[in-house]
Amino acid sequence: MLYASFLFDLILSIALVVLGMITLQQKTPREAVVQLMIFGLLVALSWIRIDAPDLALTEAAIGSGVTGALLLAALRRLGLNQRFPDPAPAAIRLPVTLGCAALGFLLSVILIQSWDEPAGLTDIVYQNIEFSGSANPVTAVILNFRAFDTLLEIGVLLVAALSVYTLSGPAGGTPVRPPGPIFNLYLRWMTPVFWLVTLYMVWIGGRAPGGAFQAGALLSGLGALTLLGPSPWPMRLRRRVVRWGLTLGFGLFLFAAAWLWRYGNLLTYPQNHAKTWILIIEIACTLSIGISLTVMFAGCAGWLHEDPEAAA
Amino acid sequence: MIAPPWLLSLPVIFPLILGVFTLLIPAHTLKQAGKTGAVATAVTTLPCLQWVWQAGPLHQTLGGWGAPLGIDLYLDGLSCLFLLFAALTGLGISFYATEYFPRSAEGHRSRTDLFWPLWFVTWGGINSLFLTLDLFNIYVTLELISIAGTGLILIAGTRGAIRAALQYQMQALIAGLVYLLGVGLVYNALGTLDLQLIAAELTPSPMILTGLALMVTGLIIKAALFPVHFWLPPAHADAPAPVSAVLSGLVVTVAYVIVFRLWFAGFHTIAPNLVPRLMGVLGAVGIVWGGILALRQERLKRVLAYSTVSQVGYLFLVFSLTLDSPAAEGLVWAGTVYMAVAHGLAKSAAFLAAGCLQKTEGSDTLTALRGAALRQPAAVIVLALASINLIGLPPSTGFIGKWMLLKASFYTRQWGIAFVILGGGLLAAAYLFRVFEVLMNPPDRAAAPDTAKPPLPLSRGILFPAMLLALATLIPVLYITAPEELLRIGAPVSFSRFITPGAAQ
Repeated sequence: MLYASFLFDLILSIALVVLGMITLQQKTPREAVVQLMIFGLLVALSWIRIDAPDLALTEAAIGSGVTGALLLAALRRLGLNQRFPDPAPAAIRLPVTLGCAALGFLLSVILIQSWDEPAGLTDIVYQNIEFSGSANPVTAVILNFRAFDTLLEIGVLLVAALSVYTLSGPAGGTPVRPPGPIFNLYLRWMTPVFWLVTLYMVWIGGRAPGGAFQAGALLSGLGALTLLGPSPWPMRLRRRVVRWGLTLGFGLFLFAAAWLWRYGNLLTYPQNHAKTWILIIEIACTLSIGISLTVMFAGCAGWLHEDPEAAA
Repeated sequence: MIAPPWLLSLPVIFPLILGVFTLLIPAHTLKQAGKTGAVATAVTTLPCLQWVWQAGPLHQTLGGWGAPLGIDLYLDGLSCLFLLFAALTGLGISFYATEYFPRSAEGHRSRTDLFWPLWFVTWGGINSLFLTLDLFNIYVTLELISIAGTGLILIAGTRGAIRAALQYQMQALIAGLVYLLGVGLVYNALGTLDLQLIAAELTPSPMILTGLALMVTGLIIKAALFPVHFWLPPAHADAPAPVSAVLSGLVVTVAYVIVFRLWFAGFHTIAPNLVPRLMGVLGAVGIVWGGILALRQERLKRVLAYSTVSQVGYLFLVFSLTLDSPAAEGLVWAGTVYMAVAHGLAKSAAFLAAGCLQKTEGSDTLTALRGAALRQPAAVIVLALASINLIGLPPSTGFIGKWMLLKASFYTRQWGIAFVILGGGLLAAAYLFRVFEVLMNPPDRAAAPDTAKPPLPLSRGILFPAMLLALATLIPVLYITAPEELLRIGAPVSFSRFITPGAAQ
């Protein structure tokens, strides 16, 4: 049994390296993106192998799914059949390759040589988890012990979506090919399912792998599908509405931070109410993450225009 | 005395709230909100000053958990001085920006309106980086300000700005990942991310040393030390003027301050001597290289951007200067802080003035600016005041800092470094005088018959904040004991000698 799992890990590791090399060798950006998405799925698999299902979920949803969709949308706008420009001269490629190889080698040697049980904070997390308002250690860390990090991380997403906004050009992006009846039917049936799974994802994050980032990524999947569908209603939303949606998560998180100063230092939840606070923040963040990623998708596809408010 | 729970997090959270606020309010109220918000943000740092002055360093645990489980903030004289520096610079940049960007029509938001949310979020991130003790939190915050920085560059909307923003984002990504890799190794070895806990347990094991090396490398890219400075000139030169001031005056300084704090918190005890020597040599080469390239630029903002590469070099001399002589440690340490503050203030002021010249003359190429001193005397005066600092002439803060470094390099008999410090000053004089020569000479009528451009209307008060920043660099000369005493509070080095210039003889 041990032998089998070792063999599996070995194959997985080799596959990761080989797939990485294949991705770099592709002739066209589209092929490279597809390879990258497969690469992301294998990375997600390796997170499962080291018992990090939360990371695996996020990696599959964001690292492979959302990133792939964003890149493909951007490529579609630039012209799908583009080829990579001429490769950089060997004078640049060679030192970069050697540098990366040397760093990889150095890291492997160090990690293998001086590996004993990593100190980590696992014990102290489990000692405090009952006061954290979450039975899932990952959620406890993200939304309680290190909530300040997550607050800034949500800010990163908002700022990234705003940066895409700054690039929105004049109206008239590439028209979308009318979707077929099968897609329309699929979208109609799947929309409630997407919402259900998103809400479940947020809720279950309190006990098992799940949470705002995974749920938000899922929601943005629905957002992208809706944009591709027969009635892309998010496109017709006023910019002001979109801005409120984008800031909901960060704004509520900041409000909580300011409100909670009365109980102690930044983001100290009141005793016995931590779970409620965490859930409210997570729901707001899920919506904002979903909207941010959808805006980025629309921006990559060239569908963000500078009009609506003046017109409305 | 018990510190109020919001004391250290207020300067971080308040600008972030303003970032959200300025995104949601109607566009025509933005300028008023920008000014009021900037004043209020600057005021939030004053309670920190009062506390550190009266009660000394302060440690606060976010969420009430405390390291190693939670994230801690820490205030000492150094972080307080830099908070005040960011407050002053931020105030100047904000007031300038209200005049620089065109006013939006009611009910319509334009691209430049996004300056305000992005800038306030950046300000909050900068304040957070001065205070945080958590290595991973530093990573998150660096990401926040580099993505906001990308958005800020993109506001210009030009082709050059888009290219510069992409380059900026690439370096930020690579630098961030290298830093994060280092943090991962250190965490793996020591099981904590808190700087003070880490400093207490540092041992020169291969894993920790590699981790520290990677962290420092990532931060050095962000601080644009030679030879990883290549991303800086296009990004800083092609952004709108207030953004150039943010990036060159504040963001580069922040990246440097993190290296500085990590180093003196304990990295210097285990790093092999080769590392500080190398950083010193790279700094010295950067001073000369940046200066020579600044001399060859044809655009004012490019000159200033390469000047940043050169000035950052001075800040890295500290690592090799403190190596040999513990007695001069305090001198070098404080001198470097003065250099960093002087450069931040002066370079912001210079970029703001350059922005005015660029707007009124239609371009910032040196040929277009010929004789601009006649048409825009105020902008040229601000540029001149900033230059006094960049060259290191008395009576500026830049001079005090440079003088301290010079004294220390004589004291420790590092003649090479002394030579570079003096030569770097001459080089700065050369590339700045070259600019002034152009600015002050009347246009050559034979060569360019129609240089008379209709002046663009700029509000009269636009240069006032820039002037204030440039003048602020003269404060320490009038009253040196206050910043010096502030710096001593909780300082990681010993001040065995009195550090005011002249007093130690």
